[in-house]
Amino acid sequence: MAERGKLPPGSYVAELADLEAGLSVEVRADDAGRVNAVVGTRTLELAAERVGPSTYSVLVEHRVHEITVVRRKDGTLVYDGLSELQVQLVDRRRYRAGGAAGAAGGKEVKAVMPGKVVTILVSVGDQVERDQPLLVLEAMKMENDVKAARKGTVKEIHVAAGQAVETGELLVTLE
Amino acid sequence: MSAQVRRREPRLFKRVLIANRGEIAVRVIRACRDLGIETVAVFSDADRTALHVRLADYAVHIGGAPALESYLVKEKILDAAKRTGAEAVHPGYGFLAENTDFSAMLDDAGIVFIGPPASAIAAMGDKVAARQAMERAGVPCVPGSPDVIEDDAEVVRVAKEIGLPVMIKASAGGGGKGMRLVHRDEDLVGAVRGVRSEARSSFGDDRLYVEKFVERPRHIEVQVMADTLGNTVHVFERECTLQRRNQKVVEESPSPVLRDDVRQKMGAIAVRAAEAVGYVGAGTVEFLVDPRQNFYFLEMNTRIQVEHPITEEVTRTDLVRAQIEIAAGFPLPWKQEDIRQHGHAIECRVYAEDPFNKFLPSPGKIEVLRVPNGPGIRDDGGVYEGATVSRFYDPMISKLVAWGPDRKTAIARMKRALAEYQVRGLTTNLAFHRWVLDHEGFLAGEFDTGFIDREWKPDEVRKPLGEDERALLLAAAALAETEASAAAAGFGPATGASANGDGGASRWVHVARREATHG
Repeated sequence: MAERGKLPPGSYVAELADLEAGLSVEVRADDAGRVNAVVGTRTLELAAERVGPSTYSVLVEHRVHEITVVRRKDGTLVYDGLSELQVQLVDRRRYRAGGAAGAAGGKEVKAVMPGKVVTILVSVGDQVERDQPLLVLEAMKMENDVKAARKGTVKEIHVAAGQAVETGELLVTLE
Repeated sequence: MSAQVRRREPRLFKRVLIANRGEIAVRVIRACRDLGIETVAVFSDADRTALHVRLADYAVHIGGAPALESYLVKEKILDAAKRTGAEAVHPGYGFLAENTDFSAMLDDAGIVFIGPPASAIAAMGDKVAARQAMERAGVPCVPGSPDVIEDDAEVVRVAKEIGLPVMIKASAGGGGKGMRLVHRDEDLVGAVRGVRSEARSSFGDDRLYVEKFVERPRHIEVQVMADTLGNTVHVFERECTLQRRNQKVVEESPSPVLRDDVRQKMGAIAVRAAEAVGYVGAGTVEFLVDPRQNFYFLEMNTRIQVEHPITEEVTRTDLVRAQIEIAAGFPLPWKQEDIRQHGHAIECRVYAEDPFNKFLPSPGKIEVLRVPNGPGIRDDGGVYEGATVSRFYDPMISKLVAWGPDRKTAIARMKRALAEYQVRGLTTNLAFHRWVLDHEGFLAGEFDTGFIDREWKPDEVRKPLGEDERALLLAAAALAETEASAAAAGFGPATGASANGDGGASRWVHVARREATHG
């Protein structure tokens, strides 16, 4: 009965690590919790209700989903059951062709946990393949390869061996 | 050795300090509460808002975030106990639990250490001495050299005499370090040198010994409890075969394979092992079991163990409460014949670690936590929604335990609980546990200690996100983004809420605005 405030439609470009080009995502919510979404060429009709500060209970053709959206400075984490997705959503109004907005998917390699840089394995100008180790990060007394999320060229290295880094800190920029 | 056991007039403590953090500190606080005992927590810089501090009656800051500056500093913990008037200290597991200097310091200050006497910890701490004590007591040990061997050539001779394969082990070794498996004669000399140098650099002690390698072994341990009046009982076994790099990940009780005659014999021998070192309190005797169910003494853990809840669920006991009562001078609350196994329990250790990336720790903030519940489920946790899993400590989130009248039901309940469990904001090993609970080998009870290293193939387990599911996740992300930016822009009338309170002007705007404010 009660009127829900109208939510203006949202229009984004989703940048994902495994896609070269951004994916268009548009959402339009009506005042009864129904959401019409167009993702690329797909159209979805959902019934979404918030059940927590960052969690929705979502029905899609009577199938129940519980989706949590964690918005962070360095991107958005989305969870549903066993699945997990990391994405950068860029407002279409601010998105310019050619990887504007700086943070194109996978171009910026960031620390996923706090630690210490042990070795840098690449140099500026190197061609790297997807999943190629770029540097070794020590965290919790274990050494871990930090890999390229996409194919590209090393544009800039922002850290040095021996340096301590925090979560989300920029390590390497690819282009 | 039993001369060192101090008897005291039975009297419960008024106040106990818990020299630990995380889930075990919470577990001990709960046991104290059940007994009407006040609790003192200690905390480092990283733990001011940790669950164990929030739940305790008193709390004392003991230093910097690294454990070496706080939870491992004996003097600071002793000082905290004195300042708060704690009559006893429970060390939990890890940290100072098996530190005899610490228990001696407490003793000198007239504070009770809730654990075994220093003599028993010391007797079991040195692998070679422990083995000799066990052989004297008639506890079966893995065939091997009776003593440390100084001479490398002698190591090789003894190894050949026992018969390959053998393990070359450092006397001071532990946690998977300082040991090497040798299958071929020609590898013996290199292995001996390797273990010696690793032992020297890791433990400052390069003494070593040789043991027969038991092939396809299972790791089964027996819980024992002893009081200060000379009573010792066993509380049956735990099957701890499922390990990853010597770290237990899934445990169950009873063992799905142990024959009952072997079970009874193993229990009796565990009691004998404890008595041989004058044991008091909660301890665990670990055995290696070969495919024909011959069993050999491995080591004794002189503390309460991580996996104790499965024993509690199956035997209907409270081991932590009993530890405290024993330390307070009371007799064991049960006689051997009263202790029975009822049904079946399984434990999954839920960690903030990424099973798809070498089980690398994944510390961070827990944004959303939905803990499972319902019949047969117990979750011993040390965190809460909004808490941070620190990079300074073991990244355990909780120990999830499922009990059922039989193994099949316990497995079904565990699967249900694992499906219900949601931890968002950091990566957990829940997907790994779901894989274990679906594995045919696990369901059949057919596994050995090499099971996980052989069977866990992350690339085959991980399913790529389907197009439909990805679209759904992106739609939800876009919805959240739209709501947040609308709220941040002050969009939507906040007035005009309806009288029935079910939404008013805009439910989503209210919620989204709250979220935006909380950053």
